[in-house]
Amino acid sequence: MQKSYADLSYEEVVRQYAKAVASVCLMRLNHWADAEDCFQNTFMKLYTSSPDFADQDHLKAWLLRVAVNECKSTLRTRSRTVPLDAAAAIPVFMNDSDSETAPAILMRLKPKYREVMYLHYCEGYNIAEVARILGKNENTVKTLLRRGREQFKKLYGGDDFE
Amino acid sequence: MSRPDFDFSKYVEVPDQWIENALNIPNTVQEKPKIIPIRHYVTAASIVLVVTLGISVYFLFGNKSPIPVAQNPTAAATEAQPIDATDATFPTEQNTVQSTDSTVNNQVATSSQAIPTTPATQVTTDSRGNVIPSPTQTNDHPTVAPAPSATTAPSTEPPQDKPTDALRPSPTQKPVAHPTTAPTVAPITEKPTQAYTPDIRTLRLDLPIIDTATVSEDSDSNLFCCVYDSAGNLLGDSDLYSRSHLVNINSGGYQSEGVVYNYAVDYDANKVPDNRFTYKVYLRNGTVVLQGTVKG
Repeated sequence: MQKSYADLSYEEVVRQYAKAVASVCLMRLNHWADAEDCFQNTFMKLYTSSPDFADQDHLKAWLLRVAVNECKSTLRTRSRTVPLDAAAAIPVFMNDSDSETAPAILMRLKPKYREVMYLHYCEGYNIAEVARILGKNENTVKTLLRRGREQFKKLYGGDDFE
Repeated sequence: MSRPDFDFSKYVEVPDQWIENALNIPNTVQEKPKIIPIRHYVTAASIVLVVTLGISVYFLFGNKSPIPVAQNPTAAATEAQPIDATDATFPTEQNTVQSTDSTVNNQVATSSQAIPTTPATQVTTDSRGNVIPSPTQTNDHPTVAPAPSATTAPSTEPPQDKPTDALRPSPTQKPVAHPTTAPTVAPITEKPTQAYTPDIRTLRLDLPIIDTATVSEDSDSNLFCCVYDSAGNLLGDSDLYSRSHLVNINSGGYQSEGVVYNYAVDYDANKVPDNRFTYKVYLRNGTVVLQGTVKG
């Protein structure tokens, strides 16, 4: 039985949702150092703001949304500060050796398709929930999801998933 | 081609350092002390100051008015009240209630004393011999008019030199029917706004004017009398030369009929236990011929 949100301590929340938050950060940024910064900032906001959640699903959605926003903020900063030459030396989360796996192919998609595909297929959120987490319109999410699937099919091959 | 496996957790292993750092956030994050804007301090200080001042003023004055309404009557009644222009501006009320006796303690004025006067105006008398101001004489309160010179005041002459019929009405001052017969008592021009009805009392002064007054034939024979209560308030009309202040002289001219004042006690009567009054008899030119105290 799932514990209620009120019964969870901060340490339990961190240990329970660390992988989900880290996955979003790595998937969105594809960079270990930046992903760690976003990871820490996400849990720091959880500790400092201490919002009132209805249940654990609400808590997880809030963490993912904060993580996505932190990733966007990091991308804006990095695009202004990191030169192109140095970008090649940035350690990435997944390299070409993992090209056969679905996550590796997902990481080759454009970020706007990648985060929608990740939340929908990896985290299991429906379109409305993805739209709420990303702060986008549902129709926009549907469009991004459709286009991301088409690109994923081209890279992965086959049409076994919908 | 098999269905793709989107289980990201197989490929993502969160480093323990990340988790340890996240768990150390409560130890590293220090809550910043909230900075209260200066305007909040100023507002709070202002409120405290106003409240403190209000409380202090309340304890200093309480329910008492900052302006004394009634002074100590015992101290004020033992000595004659000076006449000045400010006394004549106190509004009083008159009424038609008549009353009873009173004792008069007369004393002769030892020196001439000038009081505010108004320019001499033409007067007429009604059927009862009372002097009625001419229509040109308004009811405006007299301002501080130039006082007559004391050197010319007839009061400096010895009383025995005065003719006894000096105050007798001259033939030219025979009673003349005034076209508009004025009431003997001025109507009430101002009604009290307070909810309570003030206590109306009457003061009758019987003045042995002729025995002591020094009135020369040259001066106007009309005598006026003004009475102040122990608080220094003028009884009757604020116009010191109005008909209400005119002293009625009987036909013999040796004894005056005195004056009657109706005054309203609009303050606590307990504060005026003795009802002592100060009166002054004066001529139209301002010369005080008689003054003293009387107990009402």
